[in-house]
Amino acid sequence: MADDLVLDPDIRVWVFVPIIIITFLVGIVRHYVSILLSTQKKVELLQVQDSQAMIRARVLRENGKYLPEQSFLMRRHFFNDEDTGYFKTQKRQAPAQNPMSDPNMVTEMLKGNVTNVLPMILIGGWINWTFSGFVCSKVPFPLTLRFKPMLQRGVELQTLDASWVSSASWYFLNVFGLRSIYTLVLGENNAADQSRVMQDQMSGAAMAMPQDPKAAFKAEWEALEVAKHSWVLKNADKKLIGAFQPENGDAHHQGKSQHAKNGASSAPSS
Amino acid sequence: MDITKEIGSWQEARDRLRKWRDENERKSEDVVDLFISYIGSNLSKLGDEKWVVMEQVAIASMDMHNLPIAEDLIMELKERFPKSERVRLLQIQRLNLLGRHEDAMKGLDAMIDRDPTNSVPYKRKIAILKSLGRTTEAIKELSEYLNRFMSDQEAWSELCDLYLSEGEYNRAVFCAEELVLHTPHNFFVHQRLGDIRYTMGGIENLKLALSYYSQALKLNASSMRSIFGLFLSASSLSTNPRVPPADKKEYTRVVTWAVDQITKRYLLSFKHSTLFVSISIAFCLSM
Repeated sequence: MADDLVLDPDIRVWVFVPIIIITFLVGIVRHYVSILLSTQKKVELLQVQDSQAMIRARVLRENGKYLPEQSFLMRRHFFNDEDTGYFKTQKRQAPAQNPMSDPNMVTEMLKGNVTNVLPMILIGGWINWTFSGFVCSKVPFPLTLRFKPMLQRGVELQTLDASWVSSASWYFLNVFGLRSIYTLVLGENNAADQSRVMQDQMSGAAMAMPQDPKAAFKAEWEALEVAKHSWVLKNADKKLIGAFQPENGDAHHQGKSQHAKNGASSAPSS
Repeated sequence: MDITKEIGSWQEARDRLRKWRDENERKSEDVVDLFISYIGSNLSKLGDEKWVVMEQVAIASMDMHNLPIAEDLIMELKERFPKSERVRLLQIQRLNLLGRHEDAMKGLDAMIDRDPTNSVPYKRKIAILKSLGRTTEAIKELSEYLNRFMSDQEAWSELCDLYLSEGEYNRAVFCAEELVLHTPHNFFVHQRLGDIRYTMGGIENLKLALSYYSQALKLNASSMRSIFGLFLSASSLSTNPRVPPADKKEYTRVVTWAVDQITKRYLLSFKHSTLFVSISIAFCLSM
């Protein structure tokens, strides 16, 4: 019976398309409003310092094998030493656990809410009130009966297929669907992008630094402690001329025979 | 050479300026010429882009010591953006041009106080110190800067150069190693380390130089400097009395290989190069 349902073409002209236009225009207005309201994210010097130190420690772990052993140990000592190491001596305040106590974050949250969630609720409610009492469109895939009360507000028909949805659900579909159109029109980084805003709402740090430096430091300290150093450039000259023979019992390399084995296992490139 | 012959209209000039801005090219003489011929009278037609263009031309005219243009532009920018840090930087550059270096440094210190996370004033200060020849102060400032901004490769490179100019090879090696950490697949960083180690001399350093030159060659087989470096370090090692004979044999093999490579490459580029190559090798050996 649901397949026989034919909608009044007026619905298409006066409901379907206007909802698209309304959502789109509201999104653009939201974008400009948030630009007006946005404040410059201020970064603290310590945050920058910490994030740079993390980068350097990570790079040391990844590429330390190109340096001689002494250089690697020197740098690891700088980071990890019990008394003077960077990760051990730099005390950082743990961030405020309660979001309400940090005034900056409160204003950020408020602004985020006002520009994004509030219009969505308002307009959603208005659409629900104006365009109520009829179904607007049909979703192309079958839905279970559970979705009926959610998607068919105002249309209390027990036998109606759950695929027929009301205008409010069409509005919400638009809100999320028009994201890519905003990217086309407004360029990247536009504030009308709802989902990204919801992800950003709790972020306080600007330079990709996690909120808790202490935990990050501890993790990096452990990673550096366990990092092993095996010098890749050992015997590099012999490999270059193609004369490298790992079985060659050089008197000078007996103490580091495992390095020779490492060298042999990585095939010399011509 | 004369850019005004190439460009026909102010639109083309504007596009060319935009291209240079995007690609970060300095080209100061051309920028000033274009400004005088085309852009200057048509500034209002550029719309919002004109502020960026003005900044670009201001920097270029200061490079060319054309103070009148620079001062006009800076004044206009200051009226429009009175609190801008970028305009402040232009003013400081102007002070430098006028030789008022102490005032410039004071201005930069004030900028640093206002925003300690902005790396540009630090670098400007160090550049001024370096240009004044106050290398020790420059080194001190740069080290402090690097204590905070540890991953700034440009800064590490600059510090390496400063240490080299002072003859502090050990510390220069430390800086050069930082660069290896950040871009290990760039042959140039290995080559530079090899150069410094070779300059330092001594068996251990020569061995390290050998490894670095080999790595540089592995990453870029056409680097003549690395091959010559390889040749020189290997030959120093093979003629060094303190090196045990077993190793000496290895180094001699490297020497022969290097000579072979050098000859091949010169033969490829020059027609009558055998004489040239043998002369150059004899020269190297005699050093």
